[in-house]
Amino acid sequence: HRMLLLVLLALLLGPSGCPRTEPLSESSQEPLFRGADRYDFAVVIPGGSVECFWQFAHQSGNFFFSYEVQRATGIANNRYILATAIDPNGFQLGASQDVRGQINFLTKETGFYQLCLDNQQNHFGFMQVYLNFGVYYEGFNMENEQPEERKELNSTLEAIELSITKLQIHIFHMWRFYNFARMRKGSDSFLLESNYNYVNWWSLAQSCVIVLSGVLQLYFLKRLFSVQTAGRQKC
Amino acid sequence: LALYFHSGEREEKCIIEDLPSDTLVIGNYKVQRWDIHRQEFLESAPGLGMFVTVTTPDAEVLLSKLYGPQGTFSFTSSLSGEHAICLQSNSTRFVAFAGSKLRIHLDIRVGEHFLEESVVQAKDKVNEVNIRLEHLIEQIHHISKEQNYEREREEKFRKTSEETNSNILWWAIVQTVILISIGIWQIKSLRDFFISKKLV
Repeated sequence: HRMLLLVLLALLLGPSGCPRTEPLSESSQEPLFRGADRYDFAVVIPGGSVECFWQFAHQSGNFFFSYEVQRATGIANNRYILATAIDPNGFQLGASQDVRGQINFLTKETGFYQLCLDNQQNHFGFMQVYLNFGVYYEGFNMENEQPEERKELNSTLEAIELSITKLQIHIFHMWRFYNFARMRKGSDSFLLESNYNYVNWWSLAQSCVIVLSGVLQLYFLKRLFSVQTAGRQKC
Repeated sequence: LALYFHSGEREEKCIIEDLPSDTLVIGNYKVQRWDIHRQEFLESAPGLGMFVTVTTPDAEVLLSKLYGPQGTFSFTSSLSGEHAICLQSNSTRFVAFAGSKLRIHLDIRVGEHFLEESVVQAKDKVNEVNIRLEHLIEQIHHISKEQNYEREREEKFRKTSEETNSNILWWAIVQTVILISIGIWQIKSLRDFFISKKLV
């Protein structure tokens, strides 16, 4: 009877305490490589190739992935890039083909999510794409676990900690919004620079063409007449 | 448990970070090599090193060092703009070794430091709150630097746009003057030519 009770207790208490599944922790020889939950940087994707990134996320999180094409060289129909997100089981969670876009989803499993950028429709050039991706967990921390303990601990400190956590979440969302503006600023910078160079170089080229064509016209006209006058003299 | 991507044995992979000036960037990486016989990535790859090169927006090299299969590097940006962080392995194997690739785990922190580990190591609540507050202050400083950078960029954009605008006008005038002067020169030259050939 006791064994049955123990087993029942274990079954009851077990699942309620672990909302997340932890990966193999520290059982291998080397310590696990830990990193941040979010990244933003730009990559250069050569024409006709695919670049993939794998980002780790626990389950029950919000995964966000936004991208913007900042610069495109080479021959292509448009400045679109194909972005896809694939979950740890290989199932595609979303795709977006545009100059800028986002793929957001809820993570149902713990593991590495694959984010790919496909530049297959561009040839002889490259595309610089700014990426902003990561995962955030809403209200996952202290609020659920310590309603009873809150009375025991120093309440002022708890209140401060709660406010700080809320503030951090707000700052995170602010950072995410801000990143959209930053991505655009990057592409605008390239656009302006390219406008400036375009105007200068093409105008210079045009002026040279005008001068060259003027000189050539005169030269050929003169040559026409000198042949004729030579003919007249013979007569 | 962060970010990883694949790269060829001798391929150089670059990540471009748009940074404001005076920003500290800390990078942490780990490299694993693909084992053809076991068809999986080896847990550690001794003897494999990575060249880490950091370039400033002016194409100057800020950092260029060889690290082991696992390493940490850091640099502070003096100029604001796009910095390129490039990783390339020092593998001397030939390209004929088909099917070999590297898995590079990368973690790049811009302007702020690790939070989770120091919080876990905090001995009591006061220390934990202290660490969180410090982290918040760092984040806010970083935001302030980013805002300054945006202001700088706005100014640069306005200058470039105004210059492009005035350049268009200037080039239009110059081209018209060139056209007219070429026309005049052509007519004059032709007239002199006809007079010399006694056609007029």
